[in-house]
Amino acid sequence: MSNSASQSYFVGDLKAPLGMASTSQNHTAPSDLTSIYEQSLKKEAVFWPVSTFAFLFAQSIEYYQHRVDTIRQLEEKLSHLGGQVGSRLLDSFMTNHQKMKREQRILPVLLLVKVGLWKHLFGKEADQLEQSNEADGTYYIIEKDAVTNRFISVPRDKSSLNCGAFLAGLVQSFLSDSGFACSVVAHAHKGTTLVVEFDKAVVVRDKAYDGGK
Amino acid sequence: MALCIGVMGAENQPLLIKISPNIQDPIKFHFMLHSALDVVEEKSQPLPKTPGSISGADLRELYLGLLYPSSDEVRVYGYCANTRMKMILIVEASNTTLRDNEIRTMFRRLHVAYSNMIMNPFYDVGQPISSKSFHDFVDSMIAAFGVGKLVNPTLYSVEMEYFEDVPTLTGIRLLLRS
Repeated sequence: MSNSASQSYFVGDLKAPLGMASTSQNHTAPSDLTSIYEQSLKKEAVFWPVSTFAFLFAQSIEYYQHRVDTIRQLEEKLSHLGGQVGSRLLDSFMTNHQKMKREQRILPVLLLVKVGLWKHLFGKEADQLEQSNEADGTYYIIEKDAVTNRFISVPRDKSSLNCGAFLAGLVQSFLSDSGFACSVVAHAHKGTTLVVEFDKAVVVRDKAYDGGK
Repeated sequence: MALCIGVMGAENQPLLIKISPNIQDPIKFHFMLHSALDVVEEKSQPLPKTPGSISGADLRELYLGLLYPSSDEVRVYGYCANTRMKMILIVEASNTTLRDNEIRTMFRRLHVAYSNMIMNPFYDVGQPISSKSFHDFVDSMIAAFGVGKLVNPTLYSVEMEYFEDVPTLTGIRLLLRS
């Protein structure tokens, strides 16, 4: 019984699931270590191979492809699928996260997505986080090598399809469920750019937080 | 001693309310839960920054602490997750062994159980919880921290079998066994 408890993991335990080179360095097999004293007390992260995700994701795209008429609809379907993941992920992520905080400002929550969430999902930070110069409350999360796009070669007749829609949906529901209503769209620019556009009310609230002295 | 555990959704709709079986008037606890939601709302709202307001507790903390100024009979604790899912715990005021830290751990365990529960793709987030394992978990929590003499330990050890593969419950299991 105790053995099964120590071996088991649950779906939410996705710490560095799509193991990248940077994180897999930390992952040394216990047998390599000479004595038990040198073993880390920290629980071993459960690694999920990228290929598993890629396969599952490719299958879901194939599934949806026959159930839609336009590319836009397909992206909406993918975004919805990502949303399902995002809203469920939020609680599980927070219970695994070291510093559990209910973020109330826009910038910290975006940083949480860029650093925390990305590390949780992909084992690395997102490449860039930028603020739009023109529009208030618009931010860009730039990921050069998104795992959703890495293994998908889009046929020429469907060139407008961006499978980053899945990520966009994930981030959107992650943010919306934490109380930052927004819409997130994926664009193919510098890799994959997620355009996060916060609702007016959220921007106003954030400003009120600053200027209410 | 946990007398009552309530889990509320983002829109303050009750997802699960469990009251210790040896309570005479459960209605009173429903009332306490619902009035506690007002305090949760107040404590978890982002407030405009005012001089001096930051000195107190960190507003971003999930654990909200004691909600009611402690009355003679019960103490009410609250917890509000990022998804605005709220958990409220009512314990006997006479129980002095339950310190703030223990309450915090209980909430954390509940939160983990909840986040495991919503991983079920057939569960719609925000609907009343029907998951048996979550129900059993909350029951065991009430039992473990509840009024000892009325709980039949053998009964609960049978129910714990459902949790064989949930690692977070090891603590509870040990507690029940001792």
